[in-house]
Amino acid sequence: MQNRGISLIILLAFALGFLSLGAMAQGGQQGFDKQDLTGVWMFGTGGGGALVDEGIRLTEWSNQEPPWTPQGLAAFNENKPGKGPRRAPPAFGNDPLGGANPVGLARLLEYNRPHETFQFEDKVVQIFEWNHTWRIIWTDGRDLPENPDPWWYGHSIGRWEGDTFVVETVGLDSRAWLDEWGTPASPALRLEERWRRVDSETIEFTMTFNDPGIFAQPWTSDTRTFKLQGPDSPYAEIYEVIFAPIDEQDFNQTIRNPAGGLDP
Amino acid sequence: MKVTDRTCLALLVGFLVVSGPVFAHHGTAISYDRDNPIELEGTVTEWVWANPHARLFFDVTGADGKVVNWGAETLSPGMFARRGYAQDIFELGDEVRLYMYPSRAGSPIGEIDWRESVFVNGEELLPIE
Repeated sequence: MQNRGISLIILLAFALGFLSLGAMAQGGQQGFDKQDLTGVWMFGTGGGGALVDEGIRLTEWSNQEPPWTPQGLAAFNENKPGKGPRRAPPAFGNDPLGGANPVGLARLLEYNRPHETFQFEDKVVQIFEWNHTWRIIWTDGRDLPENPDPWWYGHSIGRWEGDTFVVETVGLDSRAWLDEWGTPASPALRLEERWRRVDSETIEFTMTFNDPGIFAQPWTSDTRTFKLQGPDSPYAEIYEVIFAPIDEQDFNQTIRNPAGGLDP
Repeated sequence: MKVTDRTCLALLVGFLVVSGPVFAHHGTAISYDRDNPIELEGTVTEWVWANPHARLFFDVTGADGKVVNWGAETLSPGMFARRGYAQDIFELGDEVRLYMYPSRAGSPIGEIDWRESVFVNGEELLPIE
């Protein structure tokens, strides 16, 4: 009888061990699904808008200087940002955001405000607080469009490579800067995002910029991490943040321009 | 609503810790002299609750009796809301006392220095840091 009891305990221990291994295989310590990117996310470390330490950076995306083409460097120098090592009063700058224009996909993903991801059978949808916008990443097997119209947030398809969600985007409006610091784009820009959920709370993210008009070879960002915003986070809910032209013009006339020394 | 509750203030500090610098996200920070904040006291003439940053205008009477209308860049409405504050933080006619980073260009514009307490009709409003 005692031996049967011991056998039962050993059997239960093995069963629990198998269950634990199953959970680890599924995703790790919390039993999360590595192919589940749903939730509200916000940059943890590795950059993102105001969190970037300028240091030696020329762009917010990488510690490495981009492999500029001559025309890429010229375009970079023409952009006059209000932030970063080249900052100047925005009253005298040319940041498209100063006119309440759409920020574009790359800059949207770089800025440190929350976004929420929804996964469906045929697409992944992300909604972004900053600029109150969204994007659709098609996962239904379609190809990227040929000769797409330029869209501020591009045309995107996604696929899973193991546990990494790979997103390709073409047809981006090159008037949008790639970050807050004035990194430029050309109409040839193609983006590749790689999203990898490494634990229940964290996604690692990189962006590769393939733009022969600006960069001599494909250029990949530093790895950044998005952190899941739980119910106790102040960022757990997406707010409305719209830069309406009527508000932007008023702000520019009454605050931005006189602060910079420009007559309203 | 004038929020003076300590819980709110603790929440506010917590927000700053987790969110890092949150001011002047339209790049205007470079326009202000952050090394030389000034203290101002005046009467609210306009309070604009709108993006990209809510802005406060108030009349300041100088020692010579001359009245100058100052403009202050503040947080975005969303940032205020996340800290538990609403549109009625300031109202027309409120007496305010605050510190500002003044414009480097010398115009009567500034960005509120949230490290210092902001007083509205004598009540401490936002001692952030």
